[in-house]
Amino acid sequence: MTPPDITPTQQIRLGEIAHARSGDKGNHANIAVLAYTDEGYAILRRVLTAERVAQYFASLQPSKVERYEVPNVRGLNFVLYDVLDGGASRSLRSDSQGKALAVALLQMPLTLPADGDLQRCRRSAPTDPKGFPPSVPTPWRRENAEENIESQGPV
Amino acid sequence: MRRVRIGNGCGFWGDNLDAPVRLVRDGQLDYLTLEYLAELTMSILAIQKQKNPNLGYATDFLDVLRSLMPLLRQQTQLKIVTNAGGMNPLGCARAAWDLLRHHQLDNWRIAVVQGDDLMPRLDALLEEGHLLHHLDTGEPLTAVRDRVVSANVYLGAKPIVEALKQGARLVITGRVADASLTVGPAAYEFGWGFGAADFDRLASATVAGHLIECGAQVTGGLWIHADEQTRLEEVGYPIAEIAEDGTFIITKPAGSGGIVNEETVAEQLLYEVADPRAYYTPDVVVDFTSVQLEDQGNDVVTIRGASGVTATDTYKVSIAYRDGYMAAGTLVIVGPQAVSKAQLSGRILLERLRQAGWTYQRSYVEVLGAGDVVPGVWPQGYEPPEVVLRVAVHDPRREAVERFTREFAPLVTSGFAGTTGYTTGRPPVREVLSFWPALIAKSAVTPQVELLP
Repeated sequence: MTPPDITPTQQIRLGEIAHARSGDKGNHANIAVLAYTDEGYAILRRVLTAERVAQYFASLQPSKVERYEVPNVRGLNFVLYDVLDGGASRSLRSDSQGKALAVALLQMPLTLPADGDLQRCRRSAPTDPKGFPPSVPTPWRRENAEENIESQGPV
Repeated sequence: MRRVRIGNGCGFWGDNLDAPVRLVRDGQLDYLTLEYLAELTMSILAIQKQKNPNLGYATDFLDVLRSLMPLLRQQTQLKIVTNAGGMNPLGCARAAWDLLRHHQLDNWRIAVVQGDDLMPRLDALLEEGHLLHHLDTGEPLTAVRDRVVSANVYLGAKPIVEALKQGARLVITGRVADASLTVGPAAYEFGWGFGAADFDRLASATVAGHLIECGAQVTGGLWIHADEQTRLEEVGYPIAEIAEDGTFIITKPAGSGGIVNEETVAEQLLYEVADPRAYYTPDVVVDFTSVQLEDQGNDVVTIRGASGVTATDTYKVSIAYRDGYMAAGTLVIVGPQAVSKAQLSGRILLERLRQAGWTYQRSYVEVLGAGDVVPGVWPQGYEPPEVVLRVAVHDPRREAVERFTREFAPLVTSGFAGTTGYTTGRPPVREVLSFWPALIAKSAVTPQVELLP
């Protein structure tokens, strides 16, 4: 007899632990998925496989889906081949350039272990741009620079 | 360490016309770049030039230049690098020269970068064995040769450096790799070469150029967390401030709307990228996984550590060929069962055309509001009170597509109750110019720099 699966899980949307952007390359599209935290990235590397993304966008009939890891930005870059109905110039669809694929992918349901990991996967940075600390030094600003470009004239 | 401040005021032809003025006014720039050429813009410009040999460039640039005149008089350090030349860089430069002279700025030297246009010698190149195979399908260009409208190489930063060395204040190019518009000024200012010792610095400037080439997309545009607080109505356009060692910051003018943070930069870093370890440009091949982002707050992100390897011995070629006609029209369907009524209306429209003797090579019915934009991924079961029906067709025969555009209005009286929204009249018919990407040996192409006056 198979023991019952007693690991508690929780259903989330990909967008709760990652942000994304998509665009076109001819008839192909790319979707960059960026995890908010290292914990979230570790989970996504495991569960957000090329096969999973291909299955999610099955209605677009990709001929191939490739996944590239971009650890320096906690990123997974997906390339979906032949999904744009011919590409920007001849596609008959509204989203001829794949611009909507990122937000569509962020709706993907994911099953996570319910052991508190989710809190460590969520975004911590303030959404409000005014929320950044005002006292951070900006040594690169022109007014702080010691030298100017030689062609700099009176401004 | 010396730094050069490069701002991009235009991400594509059709971008905000006021952005360059605000960027120059508030950005304390050394260079303004203006990027006008999407994949198929060249073919549209090629057709314009066929009709009028004086046209074929991004005429928006002249409006921008005119609006910049008072600032150009004050900011005597500022130089402009733009690919507005399109299919006719010389024509663009002559028009810009007239404008500058008219505003008593006749001390400006203009450089024209050409050599990207393969059209005049396309047959000779094919005969010499440059078959311009389609990058995806492998087919030789001869398959569509008689329909080719334009064929342009993506040149690199070298001719831009040469133009600046010759004292140009305004550099007008045809097709150039977008990032090279930024790499050129940086390489010129810091005296970088294009050899192995410079690969990492070229890579870094290429990342900078890639990040700013789409304008506001790195300063809050398309950012997933943008909201009312982000003030996109006065979004600032991006500035890359590059140091002599290649390290750079991305920022935007103080006080402008939008936002620059690690998220906006990371999203744009991978925009339209395939393999992030090998981002190809004519100048260098960049490893995007090598760069480190550091959010300094206050709309400043530092980017370090870019690495690059030698560029390939080929240029990418962007070819466009005539591929029939298309049109897309819309109607609004309101009320119970709006989704199924819209789907049925689309079928009725195409059936009426079939009965009249018109069938199409390709046709597509979308119900906007019902999840059709990315079909199959949204949860089912939601019944919207209203939807937009959109029907599109593509066919080699212009008259067939013309006839299609006349079939929308009848549904307002002979369709379902709640059919409305026929406000924009017949949809326009447009010629389809399909895209044919290819490669060509660098040895077959000679970039040229010409100075005006």
